[in-house]
Amino acid sequence: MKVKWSSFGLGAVATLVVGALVAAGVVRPWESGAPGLEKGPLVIISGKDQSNGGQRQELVNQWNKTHPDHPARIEELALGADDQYSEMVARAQGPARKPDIYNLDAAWTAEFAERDYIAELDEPAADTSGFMANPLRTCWHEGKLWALPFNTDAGLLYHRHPDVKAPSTWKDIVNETRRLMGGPHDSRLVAGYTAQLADYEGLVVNGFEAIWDEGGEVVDENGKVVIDSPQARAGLLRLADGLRSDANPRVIMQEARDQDETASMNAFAEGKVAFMRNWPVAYRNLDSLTSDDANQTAFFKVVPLPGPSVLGGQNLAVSSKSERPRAARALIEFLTGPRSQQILFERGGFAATRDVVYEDAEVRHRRPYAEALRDTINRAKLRPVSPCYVRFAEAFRAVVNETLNAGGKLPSNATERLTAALNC
Amino acid sequence: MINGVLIAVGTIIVAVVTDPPEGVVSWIIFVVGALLLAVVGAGLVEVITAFLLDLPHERIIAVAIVVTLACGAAFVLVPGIPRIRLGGCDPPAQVRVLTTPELLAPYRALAGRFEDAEAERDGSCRPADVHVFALPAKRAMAGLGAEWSAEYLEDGPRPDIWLPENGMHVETVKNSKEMTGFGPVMDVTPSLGSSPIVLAVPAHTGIKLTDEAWQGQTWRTLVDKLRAAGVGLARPVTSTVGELATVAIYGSEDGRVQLRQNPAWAQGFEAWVDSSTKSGQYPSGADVDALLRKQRELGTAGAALVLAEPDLIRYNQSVRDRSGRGCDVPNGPPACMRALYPSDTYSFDRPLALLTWSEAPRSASQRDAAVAFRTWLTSAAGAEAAVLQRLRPPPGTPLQEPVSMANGVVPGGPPNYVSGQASPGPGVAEEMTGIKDTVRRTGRVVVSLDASGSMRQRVGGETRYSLAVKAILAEQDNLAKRAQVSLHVFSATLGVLPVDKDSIGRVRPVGNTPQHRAILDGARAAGQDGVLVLLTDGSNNVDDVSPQQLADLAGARVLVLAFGEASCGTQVLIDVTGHSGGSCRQVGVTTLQADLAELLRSV
Repeated sequence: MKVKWSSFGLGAVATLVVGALVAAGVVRPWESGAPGLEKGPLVIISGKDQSNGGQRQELVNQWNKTHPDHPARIEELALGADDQYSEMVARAQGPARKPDIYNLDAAWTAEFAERDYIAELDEPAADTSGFMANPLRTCWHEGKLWALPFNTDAGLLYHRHPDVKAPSTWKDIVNETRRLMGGPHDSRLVAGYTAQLADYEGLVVNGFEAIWDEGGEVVDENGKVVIDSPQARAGLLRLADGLRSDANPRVIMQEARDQDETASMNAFAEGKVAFMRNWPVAYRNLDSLTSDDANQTAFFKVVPLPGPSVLGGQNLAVSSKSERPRAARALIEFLTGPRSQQILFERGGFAATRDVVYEDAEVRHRRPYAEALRDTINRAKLRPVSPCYVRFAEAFRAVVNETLNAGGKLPSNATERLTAALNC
Repeated sequence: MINGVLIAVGTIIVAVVTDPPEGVVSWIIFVVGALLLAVVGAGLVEVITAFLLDLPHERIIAVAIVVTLACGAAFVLVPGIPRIRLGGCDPPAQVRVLTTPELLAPYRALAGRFEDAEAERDGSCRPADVHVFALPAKRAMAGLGAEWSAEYLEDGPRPDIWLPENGMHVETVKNSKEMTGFGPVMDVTPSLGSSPIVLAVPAHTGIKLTDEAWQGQTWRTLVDKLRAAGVGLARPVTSTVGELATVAIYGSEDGRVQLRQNPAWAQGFEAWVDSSTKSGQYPSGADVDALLRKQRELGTAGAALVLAEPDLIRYNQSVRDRSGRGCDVPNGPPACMRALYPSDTYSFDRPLALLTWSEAPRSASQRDAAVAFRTWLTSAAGAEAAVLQRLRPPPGTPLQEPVSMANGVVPGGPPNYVSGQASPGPGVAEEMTGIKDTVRRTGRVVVSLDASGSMRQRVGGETRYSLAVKAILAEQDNLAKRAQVSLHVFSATLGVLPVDKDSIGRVRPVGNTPQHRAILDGARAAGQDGVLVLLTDGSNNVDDVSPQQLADLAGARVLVLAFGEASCGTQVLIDVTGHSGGSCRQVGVTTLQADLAELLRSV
């Protein structure tokens, strides 16, 4: 082999220089955008922004001002969770260009991870410090981090004030209902309590919460369905008993079985019940009934639920097919950062996923329920983390409905049906 | 050296085309890099050439050919090899199905049956996940014609399959695509079965299902006979069934020619329907469910209703008591209704359109799943399942419960009594609807807009108030063709203040929400035959008018557009709209204009 060593040497030196230039190209010091981020537009696919004043869009506008090479836009989907899920899954499966970021219901994160619709986040590089533990837990699946928590949610117990004592247990609610209904009372009052027991995800949430409050469980930590236990039965029985038309006093208003968040809030606002389980968003709506502008004393107060709440909320995840994964991740970090979280909670009413926000004096002033909400979030529990969650929830609703129709008697095949659904 | 130059030139071309450098500094670095690349390339080529000359060329060529052929074979064959599942199922392919609110429940149930059937066939794995959602027909057609743009994504997912009530809707979208070029490609199955629109008469009238004096008559004859018998008539105005029934009634017995020259008959008919609606306190502009809820409340005091046959069956099932007595017997449940089949009625012929969007293609598995759903719906199993959902299958499938006399319908009704087409011919619906709009001119319409402090809340770049003003101004001219229009704004600070189209945009929303006062003053201003249209984002928080004063209100119809924190479920709004024969529509702030237009259809 005859080699011209002079030109080989020159070539080797030049290779080193080219390598250095390539490295420089990765850093791209001449670019105006953030280092290492792919240029081009970013698309976030998300349910409708229900915050006061569209705070999510406001944050995206801020990002676009500081990142002109990585402009982001939110593609909003319908309000209903089922509609959002269907469109997101269809996009993930289809051959067209995928969104860069999914804003996922916390209960769907495992499924999207399992099906490779979203990309794992590099956990050591992702700064997860400062997030509340519970919302962050919904972002993990099989020991890997898949998302960061955008906003969280937990149920609160609303009670009329000052005529009604703040309850701390379900028994308190029953006793106070007995006292109120037993004496002279407003003719509008028809029952003690209402919640979201119509046939949708609200029924799943309230079913879980009733069972948990009695010390029961639906799916244990090993993924086994354990609904057929005395505690779980007691939880569902208390709903069925409360709904009985011949109950004295009538603890749960019968119309609750047709009520969603809005309908139950209206019933509470109109004085038909003394207590209501609802999400924090109801606070803003009920508050506006007191006054549009002035800070008048509201006719109600909130306390944590007697038992654990279901943890709601949404997580931001990078699409596994995103052409700009680093930029997408940077946007997620911006949207879940402490400042963004403060804006979303303080101005928009979205419960923050970072602890520090709840300490802020202005937040506490504008969101008087902040402390109760933080307690509830910290005590909240997750719905079963499973790639088959959506099917499981459908089956659970059917089981709860049948139990309520049968006066609290759990269907004999409940465990079998739920197990089949949990395994898709 | 020539090799090095070629490498450098090639690299430069690719780089400039795909990702050109930006700025002077980056161009200098780029040129220096290209020169170095040429030199490096020359050196490396020489090293590689010298190395290769010492190798056994034949063996290398043989290995290269074998590897290339193996790769080619794998590329061609691998997609055809079934995937081996290791203990799990592939994710089910997502199929999005659009239908109308009236058909949502039956199609959801059918989708569930299809999923179960597919899972059984596939050994417990579910190959498809069918999500059925609903939009009113008009909105659905508009979305399809607009390529399901961002505005419609906020209403629901982009559909893969469309299941409207009537073939007329499919034709409308087809025509729109021909004219504008926008819309999906549609692969249409003309009918999955046909359920007629019937005249549902209360059982207490004594009219029997087998009464030949009533069955198989024209719509006009039936209307005349009802009036003579002193029985009122109500219809769901804003639904397809209401629209098709109106077109059928107007066009009955050559009415199309007659009404063109003189719409007096239509005027008399509408006045009679209005008086029936008011005396029964049926919500005007209401959907089928709201109408049926009211019918149930009224019991034996109810009027006759225009309904699609499946809705009548559903209603009768709900009122039949546990004794099991049917609606076809004299001592059956008193709230029952019985179906009369007009000879010239139209039907829900339930077409199916498989949609293909150029901008959003489907994967092969999604397409297969959508086609599989269509195949199942058109199969014998799908037809049998449809009957269980109260839908008539295509001819040839035996009818069974619940399509039975006991539920107030005649299984052999349509073939025996109905002789007309399922849909109106081209242009007929538009012409008849135009006549209806002309004869339903309203005396006076007061549009009253909430100007309380909460209306300052921003949605995107605009306030709720400015979005509402835009919606009102966009609809005002159209409304003014049909009625005399006045505008009000209300807040605790402003009171109830008359404004005009120039000044309404200059009002600054402030203060609490005197919603009850706005209803009281607005209804009074609209007068006896007028309409009050209230747009509000909250609930009353000023106690200057009691609910009782509103309950005593007589005269104007009250229509409400509730958004933001306002809710149609508020007792006062339920009472006042129900009592006045009006209605309430719960909407989002961003779609106010489309929703206001929809609400005003009943004015």
